Amino acid sequence: MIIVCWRWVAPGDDARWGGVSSADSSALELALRLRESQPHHEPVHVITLGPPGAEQALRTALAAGADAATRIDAPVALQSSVTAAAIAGAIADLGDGLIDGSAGPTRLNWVICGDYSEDRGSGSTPAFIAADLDIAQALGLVAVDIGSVDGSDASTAAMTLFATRRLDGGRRERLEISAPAVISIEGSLMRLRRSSPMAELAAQQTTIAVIAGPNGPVDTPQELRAYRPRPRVLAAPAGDTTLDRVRSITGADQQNHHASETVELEPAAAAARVLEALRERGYLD
Amino acid sequence: MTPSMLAVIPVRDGLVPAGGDETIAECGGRAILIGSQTAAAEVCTGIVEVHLVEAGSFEPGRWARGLLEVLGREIADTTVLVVPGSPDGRDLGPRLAACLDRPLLAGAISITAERVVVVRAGGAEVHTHLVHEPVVATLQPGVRGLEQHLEPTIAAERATGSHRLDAGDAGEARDRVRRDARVLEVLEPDLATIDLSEAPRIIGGGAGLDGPERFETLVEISEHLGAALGATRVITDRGWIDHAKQIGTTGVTVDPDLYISFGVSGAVQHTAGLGSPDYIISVNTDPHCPMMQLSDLAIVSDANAVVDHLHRLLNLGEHDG
Amino acid sequence: MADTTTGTTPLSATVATASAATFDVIVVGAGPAGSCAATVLARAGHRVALLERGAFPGAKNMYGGVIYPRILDRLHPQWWEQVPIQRWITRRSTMVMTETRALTIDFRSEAWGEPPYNGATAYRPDFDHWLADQAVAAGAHLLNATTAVGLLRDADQRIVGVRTDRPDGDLWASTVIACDGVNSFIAKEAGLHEELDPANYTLGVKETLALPRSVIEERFGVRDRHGVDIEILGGTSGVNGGGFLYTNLDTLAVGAVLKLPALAAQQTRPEEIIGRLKAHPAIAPLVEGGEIVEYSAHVIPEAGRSMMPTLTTDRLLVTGDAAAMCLAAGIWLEGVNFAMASGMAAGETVAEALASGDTSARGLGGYERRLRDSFVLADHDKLRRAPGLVLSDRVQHQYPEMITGVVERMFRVDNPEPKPGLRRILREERRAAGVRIRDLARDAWIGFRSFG
Ligand SMILES: Cc1cc2nc3c(=O)[nH]c(=O)nc-3n(C[C@H](O)[C@H](O)[C@H](O)COP(=O)(O)OP(=O)(O)OC[C@H]3O[C@@H](n4cnc5c(N)ncnc54)[C@H](O)[C@@H]3O)c2cc1C
Ligand SMILES: Cc1cc2nc3c(=O)[nH]c(=O)nc-3n(C[C@H](O)[C@H](O)[C@H](O)COP(=O)(O)OP(=O)(O)OC[C@H]3O[C@@H](n4cnc5c(N)ncnc54)[C@H](O)[C@@H]3O)c2cc1C
Ligand SMILES: Nc1ncnc2c1ncn2[C@@H]1O[C@H](COP(=O)(O)O)[C@@H](O)[C@H]1O
Repeated sequence: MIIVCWRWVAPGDDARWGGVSSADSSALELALRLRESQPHHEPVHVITLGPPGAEQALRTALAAGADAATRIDAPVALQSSVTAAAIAGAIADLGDGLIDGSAGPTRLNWVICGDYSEDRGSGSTPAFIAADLDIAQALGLVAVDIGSVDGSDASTAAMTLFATRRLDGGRRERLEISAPAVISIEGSLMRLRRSSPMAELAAQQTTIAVIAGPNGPVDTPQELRAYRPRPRVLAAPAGDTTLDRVRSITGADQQNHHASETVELEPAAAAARVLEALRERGYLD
Repeated sequence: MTPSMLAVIPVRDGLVPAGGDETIAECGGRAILIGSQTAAAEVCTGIVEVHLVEAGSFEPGRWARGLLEVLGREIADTTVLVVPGSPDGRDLGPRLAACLDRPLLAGAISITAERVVVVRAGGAEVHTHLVHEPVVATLQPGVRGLEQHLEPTIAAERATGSHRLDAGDAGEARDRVRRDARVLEVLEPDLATIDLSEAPRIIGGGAGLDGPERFETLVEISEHLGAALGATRVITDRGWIDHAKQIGTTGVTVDPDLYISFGVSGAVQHTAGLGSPDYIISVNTDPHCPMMQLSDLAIVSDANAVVDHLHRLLNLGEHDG
Repeated sequence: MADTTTGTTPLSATVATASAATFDVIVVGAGPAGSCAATVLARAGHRVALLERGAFPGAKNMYGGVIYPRILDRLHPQWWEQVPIQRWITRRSTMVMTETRALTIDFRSEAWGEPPYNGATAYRPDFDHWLADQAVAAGAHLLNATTAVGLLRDADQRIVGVRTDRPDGDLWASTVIACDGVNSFIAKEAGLHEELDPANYTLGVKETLALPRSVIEERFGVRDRHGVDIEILGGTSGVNGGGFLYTNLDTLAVGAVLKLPALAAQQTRPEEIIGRLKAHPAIAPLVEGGEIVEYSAHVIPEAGRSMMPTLTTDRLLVTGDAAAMCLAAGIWLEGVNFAMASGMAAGETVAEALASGDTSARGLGGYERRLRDSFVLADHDKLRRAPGLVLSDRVQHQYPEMITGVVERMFRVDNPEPKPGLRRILREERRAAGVRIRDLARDAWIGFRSFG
């Protein structure tokens, strides 16, 4: 079985988010492709923790090819550890022996998440799910080799995935991931397919399992304000190599003092102003 | 328990990750270094107390469990455990929180033993959490800076203690449930990104730009200006340009002299990976967004139209936009 | 296996055999026309697919802002308790203006502020969404984000369904109703529209201005959920057309409907025309301080009856704007009511035809009969020549000069000169505006026939 976790955010005044993130849609597409790469039909089950409004999103998932969907009825603003515990519980409840593999062919292979949600963006829920299920995690994947899934004989062979994960400084690592595992992938990985109209209509009739979830604790701050960059502590000058190193790690730099200027311009004038500034500072002849 | 802080730094082959030194500094010089070749790790900030835990290759589940075994005491006595928000740190933080049954405050921009300030909503909001119970937090790399540039110290020279974790026991490996993924190899930066990370001039595009065609136009403009083109995660997620071109803490960290941004809001994950350009020009409709505040020249205008005009002013082909 | 889009498919597909129809009827477009047609058919127990290319019904639809929903009485009794409106129109003004003068006829009725009401301002995303929800509640199958890209035909060239842009996107039905709005692609595919003449279209442009609710109520002299509808003749910078200003709860809609050829000839940008309208001394105090939150533009079929396509063919009907059933010439802006009424008529006709098993053009003949018996074609027939009149140069430019000139002289006190007689004022102002008696008489006659 493959579980896909979708976080649905009610569309609000801020048009930048609402619905399901590209990372989460990408997670479902990966699940469907993994399923299609195997000779047998591995069920794909989508889970969301959130309000009733999230069910429309689950129907999109069903229309695109998911086999089943569950909604855990709880506020979406729960702490990620609490969200994850509820999701892990719901997964465990899907069947005895699902996770340790004793259930045979229908055992759990992958839990696929987005690598960060749009509204909260902690990226931590998948790690908590892995911890709660006590299985492996591989987070922030930028590539997954679908062809290399070794699962021709589902009942005996361990399923293995090969994937690439981002590290810092532009480096990446190649991972071998054995099922069962939680993986989270970036939105750039793939795009969710469009469903056929008839599949969509069928999905509208499908029942979505709803289970009760926790009410708290909610991830509420004591204080909320708009983001402003934190003033960086500035370092005293030091030897070349250290400076370079510190700079590359922290980006702190003592030389960065310019009078800054804010101007409101019509586009044509703005473009001219950009070029003028580049010329003034010698970036352009 | 008096409020206290302790940094937990995942180390690979002796390398401290992005934000590692800042995390140690934020914790007043108290740290645990866990990973491979910890004895060779260099730290560029003051060290007060450092524990080394040699743990083999990166396996966050095993590391978290092992840490409790060897340093359970120190950890239990600490109110705020801080992990750098580097890729390994973001993986380790929640596993540690789960083992300790503590809440996690992820993506903080400022941490003390009493309060943790995190960014949310794609970088638009700042939430302050008062610490009432022990927590684990991850610190966004690049937002803090360091007060002192110290010559790198070999952490082992100051070590308060050193420990060793087994690289996973045989019994576990036989289980179907292998609790961590296996690292096969580490790939050096993509050739596609190297030009970005070393480019002295960079143009960055963000969600203020309205379509993939704008990036085609920007490619021509950046070529003309001798600049490399990058983008925010919103854009790479949309697939408008390759994900290797994502600038920021989870993409490529860059350090150009000149940075020109179009329709970029300046979320912390983006700007923290931006290095310290000498000169920043930004075009954005919102004069108050962080990117505009960081800019030397902040132009309030429609970035899409400005891109088209720039293209025309530079005489770059026929473009009837 | 991956991103399965249909890619480049022929716009109109021919299929060898008619496969078993999945639906009885496919309604293309979930605007006011489509949702009403689908509601009627679903209630009659038929399997209806309602296709909408937007993310949800009304997502992209724009218009001026006043709806006359009385036609809904039959479909949704007590509709006023549910329909998401902004304000009930209790004041209607018609303004005739020149650059510096304005004459307003202002009518106010408190009765329009109570059930069954008359007109209301509403946001189309709200209204269209609600109307489509009623169709869904009745059992219609709504498919959002689904664009019809062609008609499916069998070997005998009979229409057997619609091709959409989605994977496996062919949908089968014995009847199709085109409710896809102005420039209907489906009607064209079916060969019902003749060559389009730009002279028959106007361009509707609109700005939405945000103002606090209390400011709007004070400036326009209304309270509760009452609102004002102002139609303007002559405020369009010399481009033939008409202006409008409507009150929503905490926004104003100000805009213009502009004759396309005139607009092209003048080379003025439509935003400038709205800008000048907003700066007119009679309008400026009303809109002052409003922050522009939206600008939109859309073409409108204006010529009314004279540009209507054939409405019925075998297995297909055309409704609403797709059939040019819109009155958008100068001082009226009505289309939603015509769309809803024609959608309902189409729905009833198809239900009848399905029951009798004949959805050929003959079987669908009841459609035009129903429209003729209702205001839809009655109004259009009566007002057949009105658009031409209202948009004529005389009505647009000379009469406003003349009328406001007359009124100005009537009310002006030229002491020590004695007041001139009305007859003299009329003669002088008519000459000053360059109006010939013969034209005046003819226009008056057309006007009398149209409106009388
Ligand atoms: C764990 C994690 C890691 C992340 N890592 C990265 C990373 O490495 N790199 C990264 O970039 N992001 C990263 N992000 C995402 C980051 O939080 C922001 O969401 C992202 O950087 C915002 O991108 P943006 O500025 O393009 O979009 P937005 O924040 O949506 O900003 C768009 C801007 O465009 C402006 N605008 C709108 N219209 C116009 C117009 N017509 N003309 C001009 N301006 C206009 C707006 O005013 C706004 O300022 C990460 C997030 C998480 C949770
Ligand atoms: C500026 C302006 C002001 C107006 N003011 C008023 C007013 O104040 N009062 C009034 O009553 N009327 C007004 N009108 C006219 C009114 O908007 C129209 O007459 C009315 O919307 C027609 O309804 P309809 O259902 O026929 O078409 P539409 O409302 O245009 O709906 C057509 C629907 O079909 C969908 N569609 C189109 N093609 C396809 C396809 N191929 N596949 C799937 N879906 C498709 C569209 O997305 C849309 O939802 C105004 C119009 C304009 C432009
Ligand atoms: N409420 C939720 N329901 C289901 N999945 C979730 C929920 N919250 C987070 N996730 C999953 O965890 C990923 C990371 O979310 P976050 O930790 O909030 O950044 C998301 O992309 C989802 O896949």
